[in-house]
Amino acid sequence: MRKKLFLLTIAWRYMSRRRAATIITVAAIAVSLLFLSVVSAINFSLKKNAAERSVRYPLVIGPAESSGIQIVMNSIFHIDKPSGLIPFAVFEKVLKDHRTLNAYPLAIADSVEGTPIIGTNEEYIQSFHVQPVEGVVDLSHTEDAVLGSEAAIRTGFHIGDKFKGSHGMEGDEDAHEHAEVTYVVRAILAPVGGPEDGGIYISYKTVWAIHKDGDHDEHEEHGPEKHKHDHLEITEGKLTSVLVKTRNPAFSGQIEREYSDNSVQAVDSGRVVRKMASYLNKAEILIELFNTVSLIVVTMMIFVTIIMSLNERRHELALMRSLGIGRIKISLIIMIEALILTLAGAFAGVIISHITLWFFNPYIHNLLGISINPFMITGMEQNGILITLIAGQLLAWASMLWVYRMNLVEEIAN
Amino acid sequence: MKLVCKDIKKSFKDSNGIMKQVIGGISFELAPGNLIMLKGHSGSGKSTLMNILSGLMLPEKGTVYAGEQCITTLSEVKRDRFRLNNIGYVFQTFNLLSQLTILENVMLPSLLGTGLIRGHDEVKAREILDSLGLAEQTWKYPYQLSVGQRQRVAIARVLLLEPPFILADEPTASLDADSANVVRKAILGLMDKGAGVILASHDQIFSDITADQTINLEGASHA
Repeated sequence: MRKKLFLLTIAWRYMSRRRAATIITVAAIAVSLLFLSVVSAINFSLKKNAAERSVRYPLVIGPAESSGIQIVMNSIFHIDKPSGLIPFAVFEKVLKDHRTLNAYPLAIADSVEGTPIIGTNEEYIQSFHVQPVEGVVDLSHTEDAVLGSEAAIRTGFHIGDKFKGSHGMEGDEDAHEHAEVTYVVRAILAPVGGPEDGGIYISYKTVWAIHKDGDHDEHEEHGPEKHKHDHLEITEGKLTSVLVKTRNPAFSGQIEREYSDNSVQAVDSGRVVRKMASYLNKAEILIELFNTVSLIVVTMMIFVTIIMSLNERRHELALMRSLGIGRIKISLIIMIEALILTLAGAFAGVIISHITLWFFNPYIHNLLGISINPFMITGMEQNGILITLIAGQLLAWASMLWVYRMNLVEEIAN
Repeated sequence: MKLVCKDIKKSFKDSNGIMKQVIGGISFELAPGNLIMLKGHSGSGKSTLMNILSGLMLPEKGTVYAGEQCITTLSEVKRDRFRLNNIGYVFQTFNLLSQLTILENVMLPSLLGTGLIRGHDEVKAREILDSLGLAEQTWKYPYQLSVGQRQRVAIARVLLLEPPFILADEPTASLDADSANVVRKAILGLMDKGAGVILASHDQIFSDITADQTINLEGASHA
């Protein structure tokens, strides 16, 4: 029997005796940290992704009838659906503009199993700065399709697999399968860590080819009124938006002004992202308030658990004192108990939260257009763990005062 | 080393809030290997006196010396250390820790005490438990033992430490004859090794032992 381990043994035995209270306290700490970790990871990734994308594609040109946020959300984050079209000539014009470093056409109207099919060109895929993990990026043929890493996992498609797209996006009531083209998976990209991972990329010319008749014969039997679809018909010479990277940030403002008229508008993605961030910051205050409250509740639970535990063994603690065991040793047992409680809770919280993030990553990607590194530990999470551990030890110290004030004789007599 | 008490006085408030003197000016000396018997009815102050002698409680007046050291002027931390190193307390209610095994209970003071860790403590603890007929019970918990066995464990705890002073407060009360005999034998054995013993007991099992001094606490208390 080792002297130091014996303190641990005693602490563990007393915690085991109060198994239910111990488990509930550990679970409460874990749940509190789970919430904090998940929210902070999403918040962190949202801001990071938004900031990175607004730098990569500082301008987005979309239809005049859409809102700036809608254009940015749809074009950069592939969330929601586009609500209008712009002429392809806008893309050609901006590409030739001496102030433009690069421009990428987007034609988004279709999907497969909820995953958006994005009509674009190979340059857009190259702007992700990732290599394919399998296959070769080639959109030169109508049937060619390149899958983002998340899209490949979600659909389960592999190189060479064939699939058909549906006209319309996820959630469209009248989405229907395109019979015209069977796509073949040519490449699967390495993870980018952003909304790009969730897309299936085809040539914008393929999108034109599919939608060349402006509507679909196979739905003629529905009658003309049924053709007023929610989704867009991207006929030849049309796009949903154009992403623009300027040679100099100063050009963004000029292009923004020059390319906005009655039919199209250029949107500064940085401005939109900052606006979104300001909304997020407001939400963040509420989240932090909630986190603080939950940490206070957890701290109180730790305190109650320690006090209850002490109360139940007043006599035994007094007995230890009567045998000559000092107050410091007894206090150490209490501190070890608090440490085990908080460490177990923090450890469980971290493990559960990261498993949760890993498990729900595809859903988060669908919902918010971001990929989260499920094993990333954010500053807020670190703080939460630290606060819990410190609170546990402070409460143990507070409880120790009780041991110091214990009336030995009275307790032993009882 | 002698334990010397000089003019010990202690009072408590009764339920009406009136101070009542429980011990009124007791003085005695306990030499190594000697036995002092405490006599008196329940509430006469026997346990209070033992608590003062062990440093658990301080008297209002008077001093307790262990050798050259005055216990009554020591800080609480030092009194804890004094108790750990010098006092073997045998309670009527055994006072074992419910969450520790028998072996752990016996070794508790040496495992948690300061400066008491000895290389052969565990071997010695097992030998003592064996001599008290508890060799098969070392990994059991107190609730799994009979009342008599529990008191033997408490005695084993004292035997392991071999303190210079033993305070035994009704150590055989509610024990069966066999267990009471084991306890009696153990106390006498400690006296033979030089321990000074203060015993408070109404049990006839100790009637044949001649005490070096008998202190009658009857009438020592005053309203």
